Amino acid sequence: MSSSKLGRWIGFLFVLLVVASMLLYTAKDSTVSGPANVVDGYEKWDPELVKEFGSMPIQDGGRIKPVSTWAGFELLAINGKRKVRFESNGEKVSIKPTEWVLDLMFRDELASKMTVFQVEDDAVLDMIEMPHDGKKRRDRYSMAEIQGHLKQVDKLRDEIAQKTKDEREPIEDQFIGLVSNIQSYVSISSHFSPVKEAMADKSSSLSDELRLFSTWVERWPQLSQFLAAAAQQEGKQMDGLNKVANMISMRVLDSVYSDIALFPPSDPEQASWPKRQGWLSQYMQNKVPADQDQFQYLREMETLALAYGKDGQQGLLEAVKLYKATVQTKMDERGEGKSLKSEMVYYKMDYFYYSITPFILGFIIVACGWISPATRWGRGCNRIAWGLLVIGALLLITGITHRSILMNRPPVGNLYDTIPFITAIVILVLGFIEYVTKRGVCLGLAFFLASIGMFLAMWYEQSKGVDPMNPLIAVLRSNFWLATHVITITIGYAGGLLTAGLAHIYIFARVFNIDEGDKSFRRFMTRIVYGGVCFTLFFSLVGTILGGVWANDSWGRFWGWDPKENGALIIVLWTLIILHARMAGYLREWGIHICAVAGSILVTFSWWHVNFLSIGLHNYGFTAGDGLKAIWAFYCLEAVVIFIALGYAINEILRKKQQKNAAKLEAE
Amino acid sequence: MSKKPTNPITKIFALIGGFQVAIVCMVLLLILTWLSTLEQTGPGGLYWTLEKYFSFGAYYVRPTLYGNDLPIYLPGGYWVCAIFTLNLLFGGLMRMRKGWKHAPILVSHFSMLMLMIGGAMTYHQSREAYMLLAVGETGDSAFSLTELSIEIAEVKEGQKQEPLVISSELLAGVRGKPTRQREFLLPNFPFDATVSEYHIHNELFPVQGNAPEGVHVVDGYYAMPTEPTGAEETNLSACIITLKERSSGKQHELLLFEGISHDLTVTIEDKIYGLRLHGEIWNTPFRVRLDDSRGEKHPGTGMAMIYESDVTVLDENGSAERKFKIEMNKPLRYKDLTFYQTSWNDAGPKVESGFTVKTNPSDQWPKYAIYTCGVALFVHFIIKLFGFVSNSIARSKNEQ
Repeated sequence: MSSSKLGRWIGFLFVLLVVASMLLYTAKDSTVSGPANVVDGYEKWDPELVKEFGSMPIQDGGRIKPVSTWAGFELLAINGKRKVRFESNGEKVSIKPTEWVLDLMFRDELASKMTVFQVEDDAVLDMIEMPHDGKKRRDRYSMAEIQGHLKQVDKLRDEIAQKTKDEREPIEDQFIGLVSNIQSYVSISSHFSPVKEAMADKSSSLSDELRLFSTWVERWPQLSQFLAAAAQQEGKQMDGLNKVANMISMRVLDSVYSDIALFPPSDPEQASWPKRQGWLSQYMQNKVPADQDQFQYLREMETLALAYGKDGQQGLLEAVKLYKATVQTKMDERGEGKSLKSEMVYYKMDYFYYSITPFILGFIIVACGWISPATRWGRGCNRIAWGLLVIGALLLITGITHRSILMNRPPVGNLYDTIPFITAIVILVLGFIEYVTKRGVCLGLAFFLASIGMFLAMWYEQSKGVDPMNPLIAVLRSNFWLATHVITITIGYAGGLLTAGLAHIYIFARVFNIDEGDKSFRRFMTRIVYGGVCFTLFFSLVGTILGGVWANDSWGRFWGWDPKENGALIIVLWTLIILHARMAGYLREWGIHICAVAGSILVTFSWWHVNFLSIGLHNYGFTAGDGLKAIWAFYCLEAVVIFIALGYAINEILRKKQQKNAAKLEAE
Repeated sequence: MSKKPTNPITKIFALIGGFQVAIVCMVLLLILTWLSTLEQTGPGGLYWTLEKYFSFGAYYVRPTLYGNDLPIYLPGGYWVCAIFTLNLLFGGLMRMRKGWKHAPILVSHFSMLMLMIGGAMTYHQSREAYMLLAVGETGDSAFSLTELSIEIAEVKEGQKQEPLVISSELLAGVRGKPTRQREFLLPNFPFDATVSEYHIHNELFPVQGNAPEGVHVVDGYYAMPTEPTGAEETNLSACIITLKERSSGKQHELLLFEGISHDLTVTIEDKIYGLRLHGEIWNTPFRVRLDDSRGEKHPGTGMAMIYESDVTVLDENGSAERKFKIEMNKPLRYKDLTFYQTSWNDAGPKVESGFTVKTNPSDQWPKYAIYTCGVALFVHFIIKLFGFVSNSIARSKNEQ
């Protein structure tokens, strides 16, 4: 077998390896590890109820969104994925976020058995003296398991709260993450707690009105006086009164954790929807005045809860429909919630997730074509791949556009936004080069980078667990600057990465002799990498200086040596160095490609690494966790490629020198 | 780069304007930028890291990475930029080939030169201070958050007279160098002053029992120096000022602490003098009245959505000249000054707006630079792209 053919087979196997790794990564989080989570007696929610409940509006993160979106990110933050899997009566069950929220709100006894709390390092559990025998270092736990250790959690949280962010150990940060997840969980599970049950059953002497907790709350000033007066008198009724008083105090105690805003206020000028939080507790202690919005919110929640208590899922479904109609009228008056349906469609379409299929499939098909490129087989593979690339690109671009319409801003405003956008730019540019040159080089790279990009988007969304469509801080709320500076700088990142990708192809083609010494291919690759460097320079330079002009209007300085600014400057300087060194004759073929690969390290530093430094004014993407390890792994990988290329380049120079000397000696 | 230089002066020009110098400068700037980015995360923070890497006085730098000094010395960023600017001038403009083909690159080099000179002008000529106004208030001065001066003024019948200011520039030699002291002769006062023990960040304590060893106790108080924070505006400086009466030689010691918001007084020759260490005052050439200030948060969150202020610029007589609205990303530019909305606070009895007030002669240079450079590079690269595309199409046709 010739070395070039061997090289093509290596390329093909490399593709299979990459695809297998991606699929394994996806499978990893979908597989239940260790002993199965058993939640016996589980009854599935009616799909219509799930749909209706999921489309209810909620105010969260500064915007109105469907409950299904909110539930998805709540579950993602706690569980690390959007599904909960368990066994019930010997059957495997998988539930989605809205179903999980329904369980948590209405069937807490079942939800508490579900292992949803993802703990990255079991040392966190040691901190609260919670046993974890038989579990992995990174595993999931149920509320029922954590429940008994909440006192230790509170104590430790108070201790850690005394420390500054810099003083905290990484494991303490993880613990704070767990505390935040427990708070979110309790906020949901306790939302209906005060109103889940009537104050007395129908057989009691209480009037229908007084059997509602909301009535007691609304009439609390009078009823509390009545209870106090009755307490003065001894008699047979005392037991009943004590029971009522205890019931009220238990409900009030339970009510303080809810941090959920489901019902719009009556005042159209008031942007914030009411949240219960500690209001009920303070009101019952006469610390805050009566609030009609809170009363109505409580009544509406009571109607939902009692409907479920009385008639089960069917009752809840009817109540949810009525409730939604009421909320819709209020939202129409306030001019809110116009994009709720569109958002439901966006998440249903899941463009980015579905784009992975054509990208991976296309990658495999292109790789199949590499085995015999100049045949009908190769050309056929190429045509199919083109079709898949167009499908993937359309899905991606539609997703980006749909998001942009929903957010009412240009497509890039936070770190998550950059990932699909960069992927789309990479596909479009590589597709354009392929279309113009028809060398069959860029197609495979486009699929490879697109697959990596979409997996990165998935990973980032899962690891952050925060809705990336939430609104931006004041200084970023400028569609003009988002559309100019942010877009251009992001295109610059895309340019740097695709240029590095092309340089990798050159290096691999040389190392595995896939090009069979074809000098025109080498010149072609060098020309497009050179073009890529120019592309990167143009967008990075324009983007960086536009950023400076924006900063001058926002913060009063053109350049502040902020890490994100510095990262962009580093890319600009690096591309300028490459271009000038090439013009001066210091860099030739190998040099340009090696420098382009090094460029990917600098782009990664600017795009991702600076977000881990936790300093600077560009604080829209601070992140932590395994991401830093992945970045270092990428640096190491690229360093290996650079060293291999350097080795080959030096070897080639020495060989040519020897040949020259030998020719010279021969001539003498 | 066209002809080979012959005489020594042209050789020097050629060297400074050469590719080698350009590449070395850019590599050094890249390394300095990268290292300063990482070092910002350390205790020095942004302010001190920039002082170390890019200030006029930083001729060389010894980088520190994750708390360890690296065994290398690099030239200071300011001076690398200066050489790079010369390189752009000599190599990128003067010595570069002229002609239509090279026009876009020449223009982009010119834009970059403009940017570098603009940067230098900003560094040396710009001035920045902070003005805090409550709604209804009028301001005619701003104070620096990072540059401190000492004010000395006579107090007559409870009224502070026109103060004498020992500027931050004059104090620069002793600031952060507690072993040094500097004497100031004050001919308008019956005393001279010596500033010493000037620490950048301190905590002030009253003496309770025995004061810690080594501290300088003045009037029952002492300042305990601590490590300066990276955010310079949060540091609280303190120094000892010794006033020596010229007639009697009698000395009066005062402990000036930035955190004290009023003057410390001393009586000399039956006259009362007030002294204070605080942000340098900058009198603005016009007065500004805050008419209204609004702030909004994203509903249900603590995240800022809008900060904006309505202001009126008043002329010398106090009559209104013009009304403006200052918003995030939309500052007020008026008579060489720019007002940026920096903070907003509605916690007190009146809503307050904080403005960064800045003067910068090269304020708009980057904007013009990017317009010209963007267009020039676009034209250049489009020409190159067309060449590449037409070649590729021709090649495909030939192959067919």
